Amino acid sequence: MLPQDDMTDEMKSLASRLEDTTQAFYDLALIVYNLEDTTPSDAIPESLDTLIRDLKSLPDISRKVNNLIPQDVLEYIEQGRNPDVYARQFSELVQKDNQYVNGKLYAIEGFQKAFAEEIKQAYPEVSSVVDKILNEGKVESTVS
Amino acid sequence: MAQAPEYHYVGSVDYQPTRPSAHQNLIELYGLTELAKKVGRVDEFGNKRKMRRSYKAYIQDLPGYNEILRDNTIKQWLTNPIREEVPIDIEFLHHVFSVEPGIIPGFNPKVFGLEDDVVMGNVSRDSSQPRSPSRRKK
Repeated sequence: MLPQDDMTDEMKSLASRLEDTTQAFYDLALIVYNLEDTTPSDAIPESLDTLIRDLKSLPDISRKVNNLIPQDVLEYIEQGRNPDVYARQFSELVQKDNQYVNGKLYAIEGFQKAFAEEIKQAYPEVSSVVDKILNEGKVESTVS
Repeated sequence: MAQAPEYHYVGSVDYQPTRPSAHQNLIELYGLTELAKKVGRVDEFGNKRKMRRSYKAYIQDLPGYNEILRDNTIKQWLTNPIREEVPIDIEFLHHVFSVEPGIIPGFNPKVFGLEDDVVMGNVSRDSSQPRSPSRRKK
C-alpha cells in the first residue's frame, strides 16, 4: 500500500478501489482455476458482478483526483524503478544546485564590491552612481 | 588627434535582482522540507535510510505473484488516451463465463502466488468486507 500521510482523501479512495479491483480480478481467476463440480453455481456470477461494479466505479473516483504527476516519474515507474528514488534525487539536486548558485552569487558579489571600490577610487565623480547600482542588487541571505 | 573613446553611462539602466534568489533556502521556500526529510539518506536518528531500486515495495501486498514489467504501457496511455465509455454487457459476461471444470492449457498457476491450490467458496464482498484468504503479505 502506498504511504498514506501525503495522500488526499480522494487519492486514498482511488487507491483503495484499485486494490479492490485487483483483488476482484484475482478472486475470479482463482475461482475459474479451481472450478470443481462442487463449486457453488453463483460463485463466478457473483465474482463477475463484483469485478464489474469495481471497474465501473473507477472513472467517477478518478475524476476527483487531479494531482499532476511529472512525466519523469511516470517513466521511472514504467522502467520498474522506485519513484521514491526520483524524489530523493530531486530533493538532493535542488539542495545541491541551491548551494552551488549561492556560492556563485557570493563570488560575483565579492567581485562586484571590489570592482566598485576600484572604480570609486579611480573616478570619484561617479561614486553616487556606483553606490546606486550596488544597492539595487541587495538580497538577504538565508541559505542554511 | 586620436579619436575620443566612447563611454556608456551605466547608471541609465535599473537592475532588479531575480526572485527567488539562490541566497534563499529553496527547499524551505517551496515547502519541500518534509519531502527532503522523508527521502533523505539519513533519518532523524542518524541511521542510513535504504531505498529499494524498484517499486516492488508498493505492490508486494497486492494479491498474487506480481512481476515488474518494463514496457511502454503508460506512455501509450498518455499518447492515445481512451476517453469514451466502454459499454459492459453483464448478462453476456455471465453467459461466456459458464465454464466447466477442467485443465486450462498453457496456464501457469504460479501467478496466484500460492504454495498450495486453494478451493475458494463464495468470495463476493465489497470493500467494507474483510479481505479474502487469498490476499496475504509477503
